[in-house]
Amino acid sequence: MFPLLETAIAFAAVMLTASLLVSAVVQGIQGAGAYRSDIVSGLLRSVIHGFRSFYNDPDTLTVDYPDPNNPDDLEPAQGRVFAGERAFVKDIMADPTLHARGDAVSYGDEPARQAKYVEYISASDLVAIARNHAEYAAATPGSDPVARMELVSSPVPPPAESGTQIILTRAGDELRFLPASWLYAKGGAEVAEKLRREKPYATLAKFAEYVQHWYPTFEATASQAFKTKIRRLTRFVACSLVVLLNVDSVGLMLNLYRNSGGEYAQRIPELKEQAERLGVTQADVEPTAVAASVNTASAAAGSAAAAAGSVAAPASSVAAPASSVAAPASSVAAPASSVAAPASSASASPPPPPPADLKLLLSGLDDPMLGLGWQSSQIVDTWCAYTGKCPSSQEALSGWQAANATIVWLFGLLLSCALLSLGAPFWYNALAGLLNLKSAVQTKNEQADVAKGVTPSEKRS
Amino acid sequence: MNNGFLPSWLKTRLLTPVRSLARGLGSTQWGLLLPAVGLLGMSLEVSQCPQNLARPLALDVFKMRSEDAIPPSVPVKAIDESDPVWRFRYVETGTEFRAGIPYWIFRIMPKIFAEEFKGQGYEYFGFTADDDKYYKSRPVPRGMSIGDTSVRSQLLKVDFTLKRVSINCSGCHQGEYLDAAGKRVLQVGMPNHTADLQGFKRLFGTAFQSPKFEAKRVIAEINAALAEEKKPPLDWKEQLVYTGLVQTMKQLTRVAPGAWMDVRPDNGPGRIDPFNAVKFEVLEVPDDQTVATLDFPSVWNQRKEIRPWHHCDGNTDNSSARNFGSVIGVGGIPESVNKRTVTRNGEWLDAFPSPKYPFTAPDEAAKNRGADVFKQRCASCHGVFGPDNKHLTERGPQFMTVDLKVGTDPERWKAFLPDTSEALNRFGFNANLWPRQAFRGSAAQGGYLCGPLDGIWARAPYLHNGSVPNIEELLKPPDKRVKTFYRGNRHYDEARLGFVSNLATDEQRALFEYDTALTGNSNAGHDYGTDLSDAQRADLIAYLKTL
Repeated sequence: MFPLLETAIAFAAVMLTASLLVSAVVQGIQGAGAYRSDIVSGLLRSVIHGFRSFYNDPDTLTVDYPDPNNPDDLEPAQGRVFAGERAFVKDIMADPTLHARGDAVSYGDEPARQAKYVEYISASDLVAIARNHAEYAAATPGSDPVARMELVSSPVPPPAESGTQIILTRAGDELRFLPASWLYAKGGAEVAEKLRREKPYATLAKFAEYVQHWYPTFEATASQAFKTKIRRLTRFVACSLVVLLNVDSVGLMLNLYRNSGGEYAQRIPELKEQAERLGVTQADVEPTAVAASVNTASAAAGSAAAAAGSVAAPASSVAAPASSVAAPASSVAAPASSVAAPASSASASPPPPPPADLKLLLSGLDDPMLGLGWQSSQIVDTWCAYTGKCPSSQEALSGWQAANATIVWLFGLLLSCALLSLGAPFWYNALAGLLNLKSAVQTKNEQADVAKGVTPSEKRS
Repeated sequence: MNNGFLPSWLKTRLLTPVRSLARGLGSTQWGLLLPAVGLLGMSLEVSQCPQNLARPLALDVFKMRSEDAIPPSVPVKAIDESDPVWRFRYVETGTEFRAGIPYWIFRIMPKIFAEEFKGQGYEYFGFTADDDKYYKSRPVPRGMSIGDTSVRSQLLKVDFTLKRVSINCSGCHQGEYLDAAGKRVLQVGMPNHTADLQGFKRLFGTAFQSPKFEAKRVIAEINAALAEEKKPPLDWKEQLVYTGLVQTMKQLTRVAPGAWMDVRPDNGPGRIDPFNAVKFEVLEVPDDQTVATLDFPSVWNQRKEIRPWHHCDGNTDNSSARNFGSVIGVGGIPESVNKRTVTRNGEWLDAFPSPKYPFTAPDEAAKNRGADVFKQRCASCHGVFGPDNKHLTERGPQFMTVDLKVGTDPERWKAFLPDTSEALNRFGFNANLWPRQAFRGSAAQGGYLCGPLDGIWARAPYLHNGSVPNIEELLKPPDKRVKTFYRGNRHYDEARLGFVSNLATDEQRALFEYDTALTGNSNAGHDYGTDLSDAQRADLIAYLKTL
């Protein structure tokens, strides 16, 4: 009835299929590469580095502001700073307290190996773990941190609340020093004294205050870093898919137009189901909905749908930046907001949806109507006709015709790369909009026919 | 990223601009470079060697000398690959993946399981030798094709170079009979009423689990077969491959793929339960205990003018659904279906005419009288063909509608209710085989289509389940019809219009005794025309011979 509109709908459906495939692949890579854990590592490293910089630790200042007159100071300072940061990150992420929150990260296995499963840590948890380490370090200077759990018998009390604000400091924290290894202050029994003398700022109280104040900023920065990383990965996967499957948008649109692309719209129910499995829903692309979901994210962030990639902002209940709405791929979830909720809220969450059906998504692109792939492609057929090296459905072509077709094809591939980089939420929204448009046009036409007195049967005849 | 392995001039002149461009595009240098290099490589391949991209990717996974030792098919004359009859008879349809047997294993099975094959080889299952119309010799019986296993998806076409034997269109739809002179005739489009597909499938399903089927014995038998062909024995790599194949086959058949058939009456030759096979083996729906066994149908005159609906219950009007569904039903997987060949076969069969009656021509006067009887008593359901036997001149009100009162065995329509059609539609649609609404399930009270009777002489036994051996029996009241008879005889009974059904053997081959008392085998119903006089019945049979 509306060939152009139906072609556009079919095109959007194909793009959504491909985008969902890209999202699924990105999610797979993200999981296999422990991206979230990597981001949390970076966040923790930023915290300890920022803490030391904030209190003008000489080593950190040397690293942050190298003195051109004393270049030889830089490398040893870097070594000390990095070693301290690595120790901090390792101790925090390998802490078994964090590993008792899910089936995959159960307590009792090798803590260091489990660190890659840690995808979220809250400010209060960070301070609590730091406190445990500090207490143990004070009690047994130079000891093995893994053995710390055997010594610390009393659980850490929950953080106190003042109004709506959580207070992370405790009485006595001003007398507790952070473990020496985090500050690269090596030594034996005298290390505590050395710390007091050389790094008087490194008390747990100051650390807690620092975390209390700056952690949301680090979370937001980490969230943005994660988004950027996933966005880049998405673009890479999208462009690779375009080359791998020869997704030529121009040829695709022509094929859909010629082959009554409206038939492809029959796939839309399956696509919606797959989009839901991947966490791409209409709500994800509506700014108000995003903001609302972010506000509740810290409470129910463990929902698997969010973990699967809803477009969420940092955890600290701030409104999502407008740009996140158009972020590519559904899998741009802030690590702090979308993973590892407390067990109590996670247990109340609905069961996670089954993973996306990659086979079904691939079969959606395997339709002969679309003309994707290389072996039966228009471009190969064109060059077969031009070179005469293989059978072709076309008559012999001139060099100019072949070159012309190639330029259009290359343009089609680049266009596909750009369009797929827009991400599944964009195509989900575009498809919904086109379907609404079709429905509105149909209704308007029917109303016009009724006004003219034309019955549907007359119109068909 | 550490690019220390690159010379500094390359870093400066190439990677720095790339990095800048990548950042501008919201990517990284490698995120941009890798797809770009891929595109460049593919562009060069397209422009320089398009023939490499145009042909299927050949995965010569085994590279075995024994594959070259397979006896070639020797044509009588040069094969014209556009010949539709040749294509129908010999080109693979894509059933190799689930149902294909590697050639050398196929070849030695009758030796390892001589008892099960009754010493008759594949003829025991009705897969007799081919005729000499196209080939002087072939390595496989009629109804079977041999070829590399292929995946033919739009995105990737791959040939796996391990030749397998599998059933193609002619396996079910090329019949065999003995003419008046006793000479064997193969008729394309006619039901293969002598082939026991179930027995064949069941044997392979259970044989691979047998202790007789073990790698050492298989390798020894293959070496003996290679010696017969005057070829060297399997080398150590090939022995390793066949050891793996034996283990794989054992693994795949650990749960016998046709176990659901064991709790149902045997099909016998010329019958199949294709929809239940798809339901239980492909869609994996729970066993609903139905016995939906069918007589193989004829496949001529398939165009919409004559057959707007397909299958005995008219469950689809879509040719792709019918054709591709058939391939899935006998072992194809969606990716392996040879859509091009199957579609071309289907298009050719649209216009392929029914075969003329090859025996004694009926008396002209009797035929004319029979035509009158037919028009009065049968035409409202079955339609009337014109003199050329190609076009319908009359369509009664019931023509190609589902007859709810026919009263024939209900098992088949019960096996295809709306939930099954929905599952099948979803399967085929998701696999790009047929449209979303291609199949329709039977109504709560189902029935069977009233179809045309073109080439009815060659379609015996009759009714959808093949429960009545000949037309004379069909024109008797149901309670007077024979209760048991033998299926699979190639001798024709001209007087009764059907194959000889009262003999237990056809030459050396034991025939299958059909028992109408078993579930799904009922010969009740279709009591139309049962009140005709003997003379009218004889006239009607004379007329039916002309269709």
